[in-house]
Amino acid sequence: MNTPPALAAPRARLRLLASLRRNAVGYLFLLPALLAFATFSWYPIVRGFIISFQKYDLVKGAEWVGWSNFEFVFNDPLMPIAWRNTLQFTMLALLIGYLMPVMLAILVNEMKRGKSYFRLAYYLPVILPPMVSVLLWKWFYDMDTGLFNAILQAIGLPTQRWLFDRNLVMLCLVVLSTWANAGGTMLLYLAALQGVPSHLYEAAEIDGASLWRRLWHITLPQIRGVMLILLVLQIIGTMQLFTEPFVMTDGGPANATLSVVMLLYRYGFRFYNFGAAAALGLILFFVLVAFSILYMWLTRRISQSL
Amino acid sequence: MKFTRVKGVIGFTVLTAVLLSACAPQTVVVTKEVEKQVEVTKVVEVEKVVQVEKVVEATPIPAAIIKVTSTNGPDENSGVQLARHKLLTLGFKEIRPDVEIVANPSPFDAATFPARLAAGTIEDTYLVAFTEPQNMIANGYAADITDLLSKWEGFKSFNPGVLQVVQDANGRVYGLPVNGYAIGLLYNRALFEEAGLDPNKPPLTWDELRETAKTIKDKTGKFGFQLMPATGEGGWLFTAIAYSFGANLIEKKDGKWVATYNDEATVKALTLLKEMLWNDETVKLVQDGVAAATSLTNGEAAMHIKAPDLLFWMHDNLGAKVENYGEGPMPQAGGNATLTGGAAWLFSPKASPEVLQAAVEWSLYRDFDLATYELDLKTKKERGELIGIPSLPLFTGDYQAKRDEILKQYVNVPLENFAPYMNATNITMKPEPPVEAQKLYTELANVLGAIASDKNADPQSLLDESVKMFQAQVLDQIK
Repeated sequence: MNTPPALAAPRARLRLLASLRRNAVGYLFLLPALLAFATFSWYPIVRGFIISFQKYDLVKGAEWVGWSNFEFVFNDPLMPIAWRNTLQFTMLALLIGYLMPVMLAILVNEMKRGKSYFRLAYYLPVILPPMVSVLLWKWFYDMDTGLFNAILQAIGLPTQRWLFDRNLVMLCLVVLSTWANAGGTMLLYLAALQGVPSHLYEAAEIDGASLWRRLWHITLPQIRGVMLILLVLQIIGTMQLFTEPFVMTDGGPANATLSVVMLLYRYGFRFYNFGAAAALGLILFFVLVAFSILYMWLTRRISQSL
Repeated sequence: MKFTRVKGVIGFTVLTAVLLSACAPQTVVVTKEVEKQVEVTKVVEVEKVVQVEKVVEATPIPAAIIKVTSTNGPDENSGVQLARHKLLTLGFKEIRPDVEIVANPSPFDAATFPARLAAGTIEDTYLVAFTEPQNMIANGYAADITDLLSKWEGFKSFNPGVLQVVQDANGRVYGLPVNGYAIGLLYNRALFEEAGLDPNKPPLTWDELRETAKTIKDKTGKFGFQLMPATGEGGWLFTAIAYSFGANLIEKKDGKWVATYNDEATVKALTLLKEMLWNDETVKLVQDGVAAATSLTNGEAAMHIKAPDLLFWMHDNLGAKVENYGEGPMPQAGGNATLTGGAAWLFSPKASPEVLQAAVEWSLYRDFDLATYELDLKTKKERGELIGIPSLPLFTGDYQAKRDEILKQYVNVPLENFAPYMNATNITMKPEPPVEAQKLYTELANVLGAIASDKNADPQSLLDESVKMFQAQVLDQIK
């Protein structure tokens, strides 16, 4: 049956009004969050986008400069160094930090006794404010009075220059970062492990599967969805490396820990070049958007396969 | 569910009203001008909020209407600081009853400054280290106060070398230097004695310093010297070292700025540090200024390139005993020069002329009025603060002599420990590199970092590479 168009429109409007009225309370509850996000996230994002095409003078006002901020950023010899460092950190963090929480979670999960103690112990560093853990590790790494060199000395090994060795410094940051963050990720894996049906293990045990085979054929395939998502999240997180080099090394020695976000900070707040800072921010934004799309695609695929 | 919906609508209205009133200070422009007072009336109706701005013309200027805000105010938990501030503001009130001083305890913060300036929430006057003004003047982050300051009778007595820090290329003045120092050699006298060295005779040349550091290492096992190779602050201190070798770092040639810090002098300076670090192993590497002060206080390292004013910080924060330290002049190796530092008050380019004038008058009263100066020193002494740690004379001639005369009565630090520093003549006081100093420091810190992390690094080629980059990326970009 065909409805005359004149009638269809009011009916659609009525339906919209009705749904609005039905959901008014819902929108009301959303309002504070929407306002907070708009003020502190979306508005700055839009401003960042605009400023990246401006010479941003705080006193005289802004001036449009086209692509010149991007030209400046791409011509900066520090740019490839910063990206190389950031990728190096991301790769090292994957090598060292990615499997650590999985192993911790499986170990804690397998424990017959003291499970909650270890869960808490591994989670503890996450509770510390990042600044505190960074400052604590700064002392661990101290060349002359630090903990690590004291240990090396006690067991008769040569001491290291840690944060002053440009070949070692990035590794130092990765170890700290893994220590500080692994606990949180471990909890996610622990939760995922609770979801693995126990009858699978029982069946495997009856078939005489060893611990290793159970791990390989049951545990890992069952949590691979969570693992994939956390992989992408970790890449996104580690590419924004800032706190550790900012507090510990100021990007040194010899630019060895100058990350992309550190460079951005330097442009903006040490040299007052906000246009370049915004331009670099936008570049990083697009790189991370690529990973985020991958993340969303993966989540959808995994939820479909479940 | 009608009841719920009515409550929802009321809730929405109330929430909107609350949110709008929270936003109100941003939507209303509160100017510091005296003539206008803006009054906001909000009419809240059932489903809409109407905001009305009513401009009321205020006729005569009432008392205490000019509000001057400043950084570095008294710490609210410190009775002595509050007492000092009260003393000063009451005194100022007698001269300018129409001015109210609001001093926030927080110091200048380079990271938040630009945003606060843009938002119009920055203080009218802020105290910054000598490393900042040139960068800030170039960016327009400081008001031109030449005309206001030149009316003051002491203006002509300003030490030109100090005033230069807050001047642009045309000689316009953008700030008020309130203390200055020349970088020298701060050292731990106790460690000198322990190593069998005369604590009254600090090394005067870099060769002597190298030998002294070795002796200290051999006799006490402690480090003779320390370096900060990772942060911009380390680059700043290296500037002082390079000056003492005769380097200029950046020079103007044919109207163009040229990076020259791959010259013989700078290479020599860097090579010496490298040899002390890797061959003599007499250098402690420290991450930042706090670590440097701590290791000097704890006696982990004996000598540090720094002005004696660090002792204030070491005394207040680490409990260092001032009599254990001495200051020698900057060791030399052909440059006969050192870097100057200090602090200056700058003024907001967004402040109105009335506020600007009041702020300058307040600064002059607080820091340069002789009666105030004496009162301040007297109360400082009563509180047990350090007085008499040598600083660079800000003025020349009669006015400076009067200040020195007053200071002499209140000194409570052993001046003889600073005699080598104060008696050093013929060392030129050089200001910071004239352009892009902050970027240069960051770059020099990178070079130092390369030396500190690589035993085989070659100073000449490192500096060549750095100069090439700095010239293209920084100096050639200056318009």
